[in-house]
Amino acid sequence: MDIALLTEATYPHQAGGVSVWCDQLIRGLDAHRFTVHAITAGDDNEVIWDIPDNVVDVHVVPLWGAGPEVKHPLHHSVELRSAFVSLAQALARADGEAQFLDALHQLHQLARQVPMVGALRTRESIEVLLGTMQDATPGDREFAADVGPVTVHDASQVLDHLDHLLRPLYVPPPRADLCHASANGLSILMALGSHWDDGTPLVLSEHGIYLRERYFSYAPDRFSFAVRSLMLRFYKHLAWAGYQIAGSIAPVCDYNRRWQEANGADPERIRTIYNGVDTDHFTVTTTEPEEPTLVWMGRIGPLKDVETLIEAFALVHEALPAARLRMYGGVSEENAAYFDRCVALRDRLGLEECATFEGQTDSVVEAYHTGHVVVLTSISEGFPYSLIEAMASGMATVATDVGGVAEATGDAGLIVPPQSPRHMARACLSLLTNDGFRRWIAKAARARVLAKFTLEQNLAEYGDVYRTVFDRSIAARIPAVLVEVPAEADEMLSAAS
Amino acid sequence: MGEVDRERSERSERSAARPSHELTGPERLDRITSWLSDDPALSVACAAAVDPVEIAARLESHGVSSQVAVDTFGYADVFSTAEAVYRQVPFHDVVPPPPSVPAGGGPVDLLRGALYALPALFLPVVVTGFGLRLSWWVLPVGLTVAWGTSQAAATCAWTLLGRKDSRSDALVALGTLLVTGLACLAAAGVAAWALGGSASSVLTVAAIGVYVAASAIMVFQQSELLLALCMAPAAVGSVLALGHLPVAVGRSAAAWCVVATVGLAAVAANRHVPTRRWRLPGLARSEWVQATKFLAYGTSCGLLLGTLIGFASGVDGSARALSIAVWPLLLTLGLMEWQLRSFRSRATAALSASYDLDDFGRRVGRAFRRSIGLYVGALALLSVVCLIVGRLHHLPEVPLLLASVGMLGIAYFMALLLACSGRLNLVLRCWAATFAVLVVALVVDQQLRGHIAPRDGLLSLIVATGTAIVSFLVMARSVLASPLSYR
Repeated sequence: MDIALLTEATYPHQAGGVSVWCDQLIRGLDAHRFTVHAITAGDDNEVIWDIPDNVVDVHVVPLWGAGPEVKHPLHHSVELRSAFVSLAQALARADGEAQFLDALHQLHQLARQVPMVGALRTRESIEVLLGTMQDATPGDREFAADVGPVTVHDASQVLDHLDHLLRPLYVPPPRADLCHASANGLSILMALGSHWDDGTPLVLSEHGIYLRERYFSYAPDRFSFAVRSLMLRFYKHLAWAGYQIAGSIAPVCDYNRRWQEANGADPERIRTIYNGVDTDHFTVTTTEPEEPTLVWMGRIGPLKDVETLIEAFALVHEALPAARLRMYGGVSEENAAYFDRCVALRDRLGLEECATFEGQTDSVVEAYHTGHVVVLTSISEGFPYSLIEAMASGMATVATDVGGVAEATGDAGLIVPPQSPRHMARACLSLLTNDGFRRWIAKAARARVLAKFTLEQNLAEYGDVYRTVFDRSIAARIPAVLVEVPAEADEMLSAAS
Repeated sequence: MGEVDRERSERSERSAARPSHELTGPERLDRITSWLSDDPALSVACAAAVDPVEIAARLESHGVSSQVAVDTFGYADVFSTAEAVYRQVPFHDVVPPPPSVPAGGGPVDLLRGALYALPALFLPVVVTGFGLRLSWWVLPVGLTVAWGTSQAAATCAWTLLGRKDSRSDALVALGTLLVTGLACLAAAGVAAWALGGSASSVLTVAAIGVYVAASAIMVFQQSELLLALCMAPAAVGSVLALGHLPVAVGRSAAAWCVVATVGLAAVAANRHVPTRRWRLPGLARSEWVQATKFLAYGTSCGLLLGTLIGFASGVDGSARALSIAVWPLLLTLGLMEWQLRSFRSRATAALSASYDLDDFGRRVGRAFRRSIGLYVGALALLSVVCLIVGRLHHLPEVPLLLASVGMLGIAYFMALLLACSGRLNLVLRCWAATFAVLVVALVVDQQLRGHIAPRDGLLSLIVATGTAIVSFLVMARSVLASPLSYR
C-alpha cells in the first residue's frame, strides 16, 4: 500500500516522541511504501533522521518561508473574495464548521488554477476580517461587552496567520492509497485535498491533543481577544473537519477520546492504539548511582513545564542535600528564551551544581540509568515515550496527571497533579528515600510495558487499521451494481468450485 | 459584605465538607470558583477564555482531570466543569501588551549618516597622497558593484538572523567581502579595457568595494562604533594633512592612513570568522531570488549615482562644482535613515491605534508627509546654502548639479521607504522605467545634436529621476496605506 504520512514540525526534521513514533511506524511496516509530507516552520530544514528504504520521497511544506512569488494575486477575483468572506464568516460563528469546510474546499479548488500563496494578502481581506472580528464577542457571557475594540493590527495579524497556515491547503495533495496524519492539525489541510480530489481515506493519529495545545499558544497575555477568538475557532473547526473525514481515529490513549468526542468525532471510529517500545532495546540495569538522582528526558519547552520540575527539585534538594537532577534533551530555537528562563530559575534557586542540563544524549537507556527515578512534569501530553521507555528500562517514575499518563503508569508509577512542585517533590522523596518501594515500582513498571506497550502490539494494530480503512474505502468506491452478482453466476461458480 | 456575598460565603462553608456528589448546582459552582480563586493566573485566564474548551484545557493543565472533576467538584467531567465556569464566571478581558513598535529614528542617526558620508572625503586624500591619476569611472564602478553586493549580502544576513542561524553569518561576511572585491576587480578590469584606465584605477575600485562591503557588514552587525574606530586613522590623517593644526602629516602619510582604515574595516567586519563554527548558508530558492532582487536594487541605485558622477565629471570645472553640490546628499544621509525609521515606527504604531482602514490611511499619510517633508526641506535648505557657496566661487554648474543630486536624493528616499515596506518588486519596476526614460532621453539628445553633452546628460537624469519620484508618489498612496506593508 502507498501511505502518505502527514507530519507537522516533527519527523524527519525534529527529535521527540512523535518523530520516534513515525520512525518506528515506517520501519516496522516495511511492506508498505511511505511518502512523508512534512509541514515545517521555514524552508531551511535539515533532515535529522536516517530515512528508511521504504520511504519513497519527503515533501516539505514550509509555512513561514518566503514561498513562491504570487504572479496573479487575484486581488479582484470574485471567487477568492467569496471564499474568503465565507471563511471569515465561519470563523465568527461557533457553529460555522460546515461553512468553514466549504470555504476551504473553494480555496483548494482555486489553488488548482492559480498560485494562492499570498493571494489573500489584500486590503480587502483586512476589511472583511475587521468586520467579522468586531462581531466576534463572547455574547453569551456576563460582561461580554468589556472586550477591547478590534484594531487594524488585530485584523492584519489574523490575516498574516491565515495566509501562512493555509499553505498546506494549496500544495498538490498527496497521491496515495491512504493518508495517515500524525496530528489533527494543519496536516489535515493536505488530507482534505486528497480526500476531495481522489477520495483518499484518512487514518488520524493523535498524540497530544493538537487543539488543546493551541489554546495554550494563543494565550490572553499575548494576543487580543479578537485574534484569539478567530484563530482558535480556525483550529477548532479544522479539528472538527479532520474528525469528519477520518476513516479511523487512533488516539494514543483513551484520555484523548474525551477531547475527540467533545469536538465532533464519531465514537464508533475511535480506536485507541497505545505507543509501544522495543523492549529488547530498553533493558534493565542492576546498578544505581551513588547520589539520589532524578532524571528528566524531553525537548525543553513550556508544555514540558521544566520550571515546575526545577522548583520541585529545589524542595527535594532541601530535604535531601545530596540529591541531583539531570535533565536530558535539546532545545529548539523557538524555545531558546524559555530555556534561558529555566537556567535563570535554576541559578536563582542556587542549584547550579546539582541540577544540570545535559543536552541531547546518544543513549537514552543509559541516560535513564543515570538516575534512581525518572520524572515528567508536562502540562499536556499524549502517551509520552519518555515515560514508557523509562518504565521499560526498569525505572520508577513520577509523572503529572495529564493526557494518557495515568493509563501508561497504571499502578506502576506515581501520579501527581500538574504545576504542583510540592506534590512532585513529595512523590520523588517517597521513592528516593524508600529503596524497597522504588524497586517494587520499577519492577512493576517493566512488567506493565511488556504486557501492554510493546512495539509489536503497536505495529500490528496499525497494520490492521490500514487494511480495514483501505478496504472500506475501496468498498465504498465500487459501484453497487458490481456487487449484485446474478444468481446464475453464483450457482455456476459454486458448481465450478 | 453584600447580601449576595454573605449568602455565597455561608453556602461555601456549608458545602465545604460535603461529598461532591451531594452538592447542589450553586454549591458546585462555589467550590470550583473558590478553587480557581486560589490561583490568580488561572482565574484570569478562565475569565478571559474565548470558549468553554479553552477553560477545559486550562483546568486540565492545572490538574483537573475528568476524575478530579467528578471527585472534587461533582461535575460529570472536565468539559461540563468548564462549561459551568464559562457560563457563570463573568468575562474579564486581558489586554495584551501593545505590539512591539520598531524604535523611531533620532539624532544619533545623523552620526550614522556621517559614517556613510565621511569616506567621500578620503578618496581625494588618497589621490593626492599617492599622486594617482584615476579614471572618471572609478567611483561609478566601485559604488555600483559594492552597493549591489552589499544589499544582497544584507538580505541573506537578515534571513539568517531571522532564523537565529549564527553559524552562517561569519561565512556570509567573508563571502560578501571576497565577492565584492573580486566583482569590483572584474568590473574595473572591463572598464579599463573598454574605456581606458590605469592599474591604480582598477585597484582603487577594488578598495572602494571592499570598504563599502565591510562597512555594510558592520552596520548590519550593529557595530557602528567599531566602524567609527576603524575610520579614525583616515579621519585623523586627512585632517592633519590639511596643515591647519599645530601637528601635521604629509599627504602620503595621510593616504596610508586611509589604506589602514580600509584594512582595519575589512578585518573588523570578519572578526567572527576564526571563532564561529562555519556552515554554508541554507537559503531556499525563493530567498536567493530575493537576494538577487536586492542586488538589482542596489546596483540600480549605484548606476544612477554613477551616471550622475559620469556626466558631472565631463562638465567644465566639474571637480569643484561637484564637491560643493554633493554635500546636500551626503549631509542628509543620516536624516534619510532617521526619517525612514521614524516613519516605520509611526506607521506600525498606527496599526494598533486605528479601528478602521480609513483612519489608518490618514495616520500613515500624515507620517509619510512629515518624513518626506522633513527630508526634502533639509535637502532644499542645504541646496540653497550650496547654491550661495557656488555663486561666491563663480561656479555656474552648481545649480544644475544640485538639482540632479537633489532629485536623486528624493528618489532614493522614496525607493527606500517602499523597499522597506516589502514592495521591492514595485521599486525595481520603477527603476526599470527610470532607466528606460533616461536611455530614451539620451538617445533623443544624440539624434538631435549628434552627441550627448554632459550638461544634457544631467538634464536627462533629472527627467528620469523626476519620473521615478512621480511614480513612487503614485504608488506610495496605496502601498504605504496598506497595513500589510508593516508586517
